[in-house]
Formats: sequence, C-alpha cells, structure tokens
Amino acid sequence: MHKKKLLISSLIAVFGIIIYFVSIPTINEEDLVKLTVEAGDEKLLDDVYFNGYLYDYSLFHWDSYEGVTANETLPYLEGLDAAEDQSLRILQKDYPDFINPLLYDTNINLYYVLNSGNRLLSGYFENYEDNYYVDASTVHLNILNKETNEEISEKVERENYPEGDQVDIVGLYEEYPVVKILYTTTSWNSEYSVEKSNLSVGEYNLETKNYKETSLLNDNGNFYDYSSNFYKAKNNKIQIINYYPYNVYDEPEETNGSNGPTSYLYHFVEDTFIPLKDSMAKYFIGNDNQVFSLTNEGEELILRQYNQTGEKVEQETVLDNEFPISLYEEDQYPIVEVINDRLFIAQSATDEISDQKILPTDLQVFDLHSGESLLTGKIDYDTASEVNALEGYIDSIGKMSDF
Amino acid sequence: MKKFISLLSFEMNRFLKFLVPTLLVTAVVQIFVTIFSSLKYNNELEKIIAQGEQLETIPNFSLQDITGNGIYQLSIMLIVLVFVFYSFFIWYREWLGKNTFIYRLLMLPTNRTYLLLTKSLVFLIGGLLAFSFQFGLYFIELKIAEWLVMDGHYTLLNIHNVQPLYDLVQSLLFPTTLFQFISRYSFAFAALMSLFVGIIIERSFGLKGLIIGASYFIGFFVLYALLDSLLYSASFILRPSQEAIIMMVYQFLVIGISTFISHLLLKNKIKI
Amino acid sequence: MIEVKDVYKKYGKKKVLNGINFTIPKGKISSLIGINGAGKTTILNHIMNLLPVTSGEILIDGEKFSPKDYEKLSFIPDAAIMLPEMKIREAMDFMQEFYDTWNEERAQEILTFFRLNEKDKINTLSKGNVAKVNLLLGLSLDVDYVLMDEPFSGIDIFTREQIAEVFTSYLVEDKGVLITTHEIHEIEFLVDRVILMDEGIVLREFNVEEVRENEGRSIVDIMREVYMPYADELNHHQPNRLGK
Repeated sequence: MHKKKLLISSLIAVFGIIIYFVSIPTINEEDLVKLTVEAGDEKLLDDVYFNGYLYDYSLFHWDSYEGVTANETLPYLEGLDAAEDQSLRILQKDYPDFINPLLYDTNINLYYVLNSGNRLLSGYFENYEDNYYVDASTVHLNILNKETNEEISEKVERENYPEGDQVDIVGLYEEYPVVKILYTTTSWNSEYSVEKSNLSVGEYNLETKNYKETSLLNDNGNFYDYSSNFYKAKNNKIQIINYYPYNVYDEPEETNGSNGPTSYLYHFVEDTFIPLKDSMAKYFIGNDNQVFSLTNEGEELILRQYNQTGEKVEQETVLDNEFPISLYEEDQYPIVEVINDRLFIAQSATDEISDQKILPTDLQVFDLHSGESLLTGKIDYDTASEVNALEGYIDSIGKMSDF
Repeated sequence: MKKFISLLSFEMNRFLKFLVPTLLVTAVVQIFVTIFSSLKYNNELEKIIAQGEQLETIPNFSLQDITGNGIYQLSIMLIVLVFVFYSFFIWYREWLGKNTFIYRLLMLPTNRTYLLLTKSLVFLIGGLLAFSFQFGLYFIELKIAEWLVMDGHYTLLNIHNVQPLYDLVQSLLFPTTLFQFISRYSFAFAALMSLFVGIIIERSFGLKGLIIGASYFIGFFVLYALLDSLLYSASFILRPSQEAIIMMVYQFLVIGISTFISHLLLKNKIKI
Repeated sequence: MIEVKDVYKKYGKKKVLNGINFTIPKGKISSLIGINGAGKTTILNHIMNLLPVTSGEILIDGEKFSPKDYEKLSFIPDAAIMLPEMKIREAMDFMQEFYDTWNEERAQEILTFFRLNEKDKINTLSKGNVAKVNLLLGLSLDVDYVLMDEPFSGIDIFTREQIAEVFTSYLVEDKGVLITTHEIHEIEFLVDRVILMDEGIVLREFNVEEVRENEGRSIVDIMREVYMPYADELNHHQPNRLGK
C-alpha cells in the first residue's frame, strides 16, 4: 500500500505532538520557594506574606494561607492577565474593576495605589491623546469605597507644577476630604549627564476641588519612596523619601564616601519636611506611624526608634541576630518590615554565580522593643532544580489582612 | 474521500522527497555539533585541571551550550527555509516545464478544492513531523552530551527548558503551552493559506493577478500589525488574554476566508 | 453530445475565439481543422474546463460542466501530462487510483499493441513513445468523449500508422471523438465529421460521407473552397464564408 509514507508521517506527527505536550513538566510551586522555620514560633508567620522574584523564572508570592503562587505556573491565559506586581495581583482579585485599568490601559501610567482601610485610592497620569508622552499637567485620582462599591474619579489640574522630563508619584495620603500626593520630577541635562530632581507635594480637596502644589526640595540626584513599591498597604501619616545625591553613572568614589542615600521625613498632616541625620542608617516606618532605623555598628545591628519628626531617638535596641545582616553590601538585599509590632528582616543575596546552589534568603523576626530573636528561618529556591533558576530574592513583606 | 486520501498521499510523497533529506542533514549537523561541543568542553576542563585551577569557576555543560551554537541554529533555519521554498514551489512546480502536471490535477474527477486542501495539509503534517523530529533530536543530543561530558559537570536540562536566555528561535518554535503553540503555528498556517490565495490569484489572472495576489498575501501581515496596534490602543476595554484570543481568531478567520476564496477561484477561474 | 455555443475568448486585445459554435456527437469521429494559432487548443481547453469560459456556453450532454464530467471526458494533449519521473506503470496506477472509469484490461491491450514497457520512465521515452503513452492513458478510460490535440505532431510515420489504427478499432467505437489537427491527410479517411475554423469562427461544419455522396467532394476540396476565396473567385464560385 503506497500510502505508507503518509501514514507513517501522520503517526509521527500526531504522536510527536502528544508526547511533546504530555512531557511538559508541571512545576511544583512548593519546590520553587520553600520556607523553613529553623527556630522560633511558626505562628509568627500567620497572616504574613512575602513577594519576590526567582531569576530568571517568575515573580512569586508566598503567604501562610495558600503557600506559593508564581505567575509563570498560572494557566497561560490567566498568566497573561495576572498583574506583575504580586500585591496588585492579590488586590486585583477582590477589586478587578478598580485595578484592571491601571494594569491594562496603556494610556495610564505611573500609578500609585493606596490601601486605606475601607477605601482604595489610585493616583496616576495619562498620556497625551496624540502621542505616548505622559501629560504631567493633570493627575488623576480614583477613590473606591470598598463597602458601597462607589468609585469617584477626579481629574486634577496641577497648577504651577515643576517642569521636567520625568514625573513620579512617591507618596499618597488621604484624610477626607483632603488627598495629598508626593511627586518627584526629574530633568536630565545630557551634556553633563547630571540629573536634577524636584520633590513636591500636592494637596487636593475633594469637596472644594481646590488644588495647590508646593515644592519641598530641589537638588541634583533622585528621590525615591523608601520602600520602592507603588502599592502602599497602609495610609501612613508619614513618608520617608530617600535621596540619592549622585548620578547613577558616577563611580562611588566620586560621592565622598557615603554609599547610601540621605533620607527625609515628610509628615502629611503636620506638613513638615525634615532631613534624617544619620546617613548610614536605613530608615523605615512601623505599622503604627513610628519612625525606625537600622544601622550596622561594628558587629552589631542597632534598631532605633525616633519621635514623629525623626530628630530625637526615643529607643535604641541591639538586635540579637543569628544570621549576619548587612545593610550596605552591594550584593546583599535586605527587606525590612514591621508587622504587629514585630520586626521582620529578609536578607537575600543577589550575587549570581552560575551553577552554585542558589543562595537562600535568611529570615529573622525580632521583638521590636527587646531586640530578641523570635524566629529564624530560611527561604530556599528551586530546590528540585526544575527551572534552572540562578537566584531568588524577597522584595516585600506584608500582612495579608491588610488587603 | 478515498480519492482525497490518494491525492494527499501523492502530495505527501512529493513533499517528503524534499523534507526527509533536509531533516537528515539537520540531524547530521546537529549531532556533529553536539559531539564537537561536548568534546571541546572536556578539553577545556582538562586544560584547567592541568593548570591546577579551581574547577568550580567553569560553569556546567548543558544542552544550552549546544543549541546556542551558530551552526546548530542554522540547521534549524534550514528546515524553515525548505518550508518557505516549498510553499511557493508546491504550486508553481505544476506549471513548470513542458509536461505541465497541472492539466492532470485540474482534470481529476474530484472537487478541485481537494487540490488546495491536500497541498495545505501536507504542510500541516510535514510541519508537525519536522517538529516531532527536532524534538526527538533534542532528546538524542541530551543523551549523547550526557554520555560524553565529564561526570559531574553536566546539567540535565529539561527539554522544554531548552531556551537559552536570549534564544529567539527555540522559544518561538517550541512553546511550552498549548495556547501559544496553536497561536504561533496557526499564524504560520494563515500566512501559508494567504500565500496560496495569492498564488492562485496570480495563476488565474496573470500580471494583474500578481499584484492582487501579492497584495492579499502582504495584506495578511499588514492587517495583523494593524489589529495588534488597534488592540493596544483599545487596551482600556480589553484584557491581555482577550487580545491574545482575538489575534488567534483573526488567524483562523484568515484561514477560513483564504480557503473559501481559493475554493472559488479553483472552481471557476483558474487556468492552465 | 458536446455543444459549444457562442464562445468568445480574448487574449489581451487579440480575439482568438469570435463566437464559436459546433457540436460533437457521440459515436462519431469529428475533426477540428484550422491553421496554427487558430484557437483549436483554446477550444479544447474550454471544453475540458481547463480554461474558464467567460463568454458563451459549453454543455456536456445538455448540462453545464461539473467535476464528475472528468469521468466522461478524456483529454489527450500533445504533451505528456504525467510527472516525467514516473514509470509508465506508476502513471497507470495513478489513473487507476483516481478514475473509476479506468479499464486495466484495455490498458494492458494498448500497452502490448504499442509495444511499450511498463517499467520505462516517461522522461526516457522518445517523442513517439510519449505520444503513445498519452494515448494509452487517455483511451484506457471508459469515457464517452475523447478529445485529442494534434495527436500526430512530430510523430514518425510508423507510429502514426499505429495510432491511426487505433481510430479504426473498437477502442473508439461509439465514443464521441474530437481530433484537432492541421494535417488533414493523416485522418482524411478516418473522420466522420469536419469542423473548419478560421479567425475565431467556424466556417463550415459538415459530414464527410454526406458531402462525398451528395457533392462528390473530398475534405480537401471543401477546405480549398473555404480557405481560399480568391481561388474560388477564379473558379467562378461565390465566396461562402458562412454557409453550411
């Protein structure tokens, strides 16, 4: 029968395809990110979540309820729709109509989301109609009442706003009827490869529809939100802005020694803007608007709590850390968060050495007042070597019930 | 139906005359590269041992080191080229030379659309055949490399992870989800069917037909790009998954419309 | 009966067929005669639906053309229409596969008669043998109509005689045969009907037997009359371009 060749070709074709798809491995998420508690009470991790990235595979989310979720292991179409930012992905599930435009509308840029109790706020910019440039003259505010599901949309004309090449929102605060927005506007001068940035705060009254904007600081360099997320799970009265005085392209030697930023504390309600003095400290905000800092001093790790203006140290504790925590090394990536009056520190390594086992993230939980170590743990990545990952790190810690 | 299978078998045999030698050449080239790369790696390891340096500084050998090789990539492009070539040749060959076989094909006592269907089906079957063949080759290469490379320095990569970070070819041709697979290969198939319409238009209308036919074929790509950009601007109402589905529907629509147009032309307009 | 009605065909500006009308009845051998380029091949292509009819109508047994008519009509053009790398046997298998009307017995008879070897590849055959293969493939179908385009062109005399024998055999009995040629003397004594073409129209369509009996004239006589009107004038005949 001379239809042999057709038959054989068809069989190979069909079976080949079937075998190909059947043999696609299902990745076990639990092997991708494995959290082990080595000492202390596991219950401390109840309601806690970690977001991170497994390089070069997928963003992931771990929480005590559902374990690991990774964007890459979602079904393909779901994965296409899933938000890159893991916190926004969680929010998206509960408030899709609010979050989806931010994620999918290519017209909407530079958004910042605030989760404030029973309200969700987003501040963002849109592109000009004709082109892809961001219209910095108008800031948009969307406010969703979680209970009534009512959404307010405000288009706010910024008068007297600082001109520049790039604008970003680095803080958001609301106390009805006032919404306050912290902006950073950067301009770069290509001749000298110097960036100049402006930090300004805008205040909008939802009832009177009045808006005014004040400049806080102008300088060479850049301003960033201290926690580098564009999603804030709490409506903090204060915001810490890190200021990087040098251009990214400069060598560290040119910056007179200091590797770290200087930090500023802005109080939304008091409207105070104060530099934080210790340039070697890593400042952060606690779960109840407290101002904290962490410093390496010699072998010790010191936790300090400040008053509301950040000028006076109210408490100083030495942390009883089991694993070394380095705040300044380039390849160390510590994330610090206060949850339920406890200090969580996750220290990831971002040093890529191919073929070595991936360096795990060290997890430590301390008592905020005594500095006592309450829990030590490790987060191991790609333990079954399924995805050929090179490194893994945690980039945010939070509380699931904040959502 | 029986005549359809006969015709399909006939076309398939003609296609296999091109495809099988190409696949064999590809196999030979790839296995050669596999053996060569593995042995070269072993050599480098031995040099390092002789110099007394740390073995940990050199990364492990894996399938990615083979698939990243330029000649290896060329061998895959060769298969693609043969497909592109044959997508033109499969029609124009019937008019070539003195003994024009198109007479015989057009005079077959069957629905002329069988000509279109069989000529496109051989690409479908041939394409999946080449795909499966390459997949099997990966597996063989895996085993050869494992066998040759010095113990302890070989990383077994899952075949589906044979996607070196920046390798476009592999990640394009061997996607890991069914949706992506159907989406990409139906794009190729839609392009093929559009080309067939173009060719049939040219064969039916001469010079005028060349312009119309070429426009139809190019039009497929132009419309695709336009649709893509339209969806981008309409992003405020559509989710990425919906956009992906729309693009795939477009491809299937093109396949359907192209088939219909070709059917009409073959029935009423084509000439020898 | 095959009916060709008012068929027009233009190639660019050139009018090849200018309103062609004729019929091909079953059981008779008809000959379409015209000079080279007169449009004979074009008409055959039209009848076989290898060239779509844009103006006019062609009916096969009273109906418009449909693919199943390929089991009723056999076309034998003047070049091989099989893949040249095929062996004769493979070509026969191909025909057998696709045509229900393929008659293997008859094919074997013709094979023997023409002294062809099944195992020969078509592209190794001489022109005469290729013509024989064409005939073999065309005549082994149990069809109602056989159309042949210039079956004698470029063929040596011995092959021609063999081919001519076919026309007198049972192989073409009760089929409707249409032969196109410009060499009338080869088939003068074989054909039943003649259709004379020139400048895109049928000049005269007649029954050979009738004309011989009633007018005492041969095909060549008629042709001379139809194609050379000035010569006719010299002979004091009226030019009759449209008569029957």
